[in-house]
Formats: sequence, structure tokens, C-alpha cells
Amino acid sequence: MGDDDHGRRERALRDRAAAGDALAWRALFDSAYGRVHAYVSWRLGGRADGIEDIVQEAWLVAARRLATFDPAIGRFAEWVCGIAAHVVRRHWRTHSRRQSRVRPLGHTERLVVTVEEDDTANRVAAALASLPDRYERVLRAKYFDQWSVNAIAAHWGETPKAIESLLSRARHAFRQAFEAEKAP
Amino acid sequence: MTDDELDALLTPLPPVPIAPAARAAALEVSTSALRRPRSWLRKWAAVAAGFALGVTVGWVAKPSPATPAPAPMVQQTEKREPMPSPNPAETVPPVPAVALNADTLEMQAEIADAATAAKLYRQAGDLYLKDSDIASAARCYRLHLTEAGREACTPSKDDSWLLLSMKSSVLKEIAQ
Repeated sequence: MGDDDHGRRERALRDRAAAGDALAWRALFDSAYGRVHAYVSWRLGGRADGIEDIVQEAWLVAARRLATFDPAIGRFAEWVCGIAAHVVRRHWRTHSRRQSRVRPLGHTERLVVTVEEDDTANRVAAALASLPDRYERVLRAKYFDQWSVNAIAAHWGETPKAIESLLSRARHAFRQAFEAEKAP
Repeated sequence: MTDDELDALLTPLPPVPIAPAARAAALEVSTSALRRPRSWLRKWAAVAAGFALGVTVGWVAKPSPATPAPAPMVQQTEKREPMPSPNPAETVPPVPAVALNADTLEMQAEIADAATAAKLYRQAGDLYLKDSDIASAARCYRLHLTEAGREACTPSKDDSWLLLSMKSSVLKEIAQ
């Protein structure tokens, strides 16, 4: 199915779903759920806990804002992933605040092992959550979507050189944020 | 950190498996959000209705102009006898029964064993739903179904509409 056909189909489904057609909404949901779930998993550095709450919240927001989805700008799955990116960022801020107020009591050996296992995932998630939107988008295209620089450039309407440069800055920013997340 | 190490950090790990109950909950909650007005709209509507009710009651209950002037107020003083000191044992007030709210039940469920947690999540879900907090209700019902296992998916007459709907979706997902 070409991009035009895809856009037309998603536009028709959006209009029907926004008018309350549950079957149309289900078709949109089924077409994008797996991708949104995988994206949130990537944003959380592979952590399993919390993923379902974030995915559910992203879908709730998507349903409420469905009328603002424009198939001319991008695909439905990408639009929901964009919403999920904001939900992850907000979730991560809350999580960080909560973690800073909590310390383990008593027998800490098992907890220390668990924390070490989660440490890398936490730092990846925190570093991604701290990046500006444009850096996160280019890292998403490169690593999550596994697009080449040329493909990203063609999709975004920019030159490969500009994308190389943006990618380099995004990687540098990620590296700095990841290093800054090291335990004191 | 080398570039290879950075690439390894950003390369997606094998995806976390999708839980059928979670998927069903997300579908139910989002589908119900399509049909319902936004919560802030509902809240403003409730506030406006309350205000209108207050104005109406005030208008109906306003004093009639023919009401006679009230008698002048006088202050009466009264000599009070000193009260005997009460027996401390008799003054302990009865402890009121603490009504558990949905947040408390959910927190208790997080530290309880699986069977108790399933029951507490269910109760918390019911209370959230009563407060029209659909997202939290769906979260608790999903955890209830996860903790209670497949037997809990059998519909019951005591189930709320949301729980019934989620059970139905889970059964469909399992059947597919």
C-alpha cells in the first residue's frame, strides 16, 4: 500500500473513530499497538516495569486528541509514538523524584543486585528523557527504526550532511547525559 | 564510552512481550474515552450545575419583605459550676472506622500476596470507577486479572461494565 493510500485509509478511519465508531478505532489501535509498545520499551532502555501504564496512558491521550491527528503530516503509529514520548518524559520525571526520596531499609544485598541490573536501563531511559525532541527523533530514526542517514534525510527533506551533523550532536548529548546519570 | 558501546546502548533490546490483559485494558479505556466528554468538561459542567442550584435555592428561600424586625438581642450570663474532673478511661473517644479509599487499597495490594492482591486490586478498581477515574480503574482491573489468572476472566453479575468489557476482551485475545 502506497503512502497516499495509507494516508487516505487512516484519514477515513480517523473520521469514523472521532465520530464514535469503535470498530474504526480498533482498526487504528491494532495497526499501531505493537509499534507503540516497542517504542516505549526502547525509551525505557528495555525495562519491563511501568511500560503498560505508559502505553495505556498514551492510548488514552490519543483517543482524546484524535481529532488533531493529521495523516498528511505522518502515520498514525508515529503520531501515537510522539504522544508516548511525552508521557515517558513526564513519567520519568515523576519516577526520578520518587527515587530520590526513597532509600532501602534493612537487608540491602538483594536490592543492590536488582538496582545494578536496572542501572543501565535506568540511565539509558533518563538520558533519552533529558534530550531535546529533535535529538530524540533522530536517535529514534537511526536506532529504533534502523533507518540509514540517507533515508532519514529523504524522509525529513534535509541533506545527508545535515542529518550526519545532527546525529553526531545527538549522540554527543546522549553520551553526556548517560555519563551524568552515573551514581555519585 | 566508545562509539560501539554507545551503539549497543541505543540498539533496541528484544521487545518486552505484550500482555493480553494490558492490551485489552488500553483498548477499552481508549474506546470509552472516544465516547465520553473530557473530564474537565464534566467537572466544569458539575460546578456550573452546582452554582445554578445554589442561586435557585437562594432565590426561593429569600426572606419575605413583610417579615417583622427581630427582637433586640441580649446577652445572658450564667454562672457555671466547675466541672468535676472526668475519669480518663471514660473520655477516650471511640475510634472511628477508617474508610479505605482506592489509593490505599491499591498500595496494600502492591505488598500483598497474589490472592489478596487480586481481591484488593478489584476493590480499588471498583472505587476508582465510582469516582469516574477510568484510567486508574482500568489499571487496577488489569492488575486484578493478571494476579487472579485465567479463572478470574469468567464474567460475574457483580462485575462493573469496565471489568466485564475487559474480561470479554481478554477472553477474545486468548481465543485468537
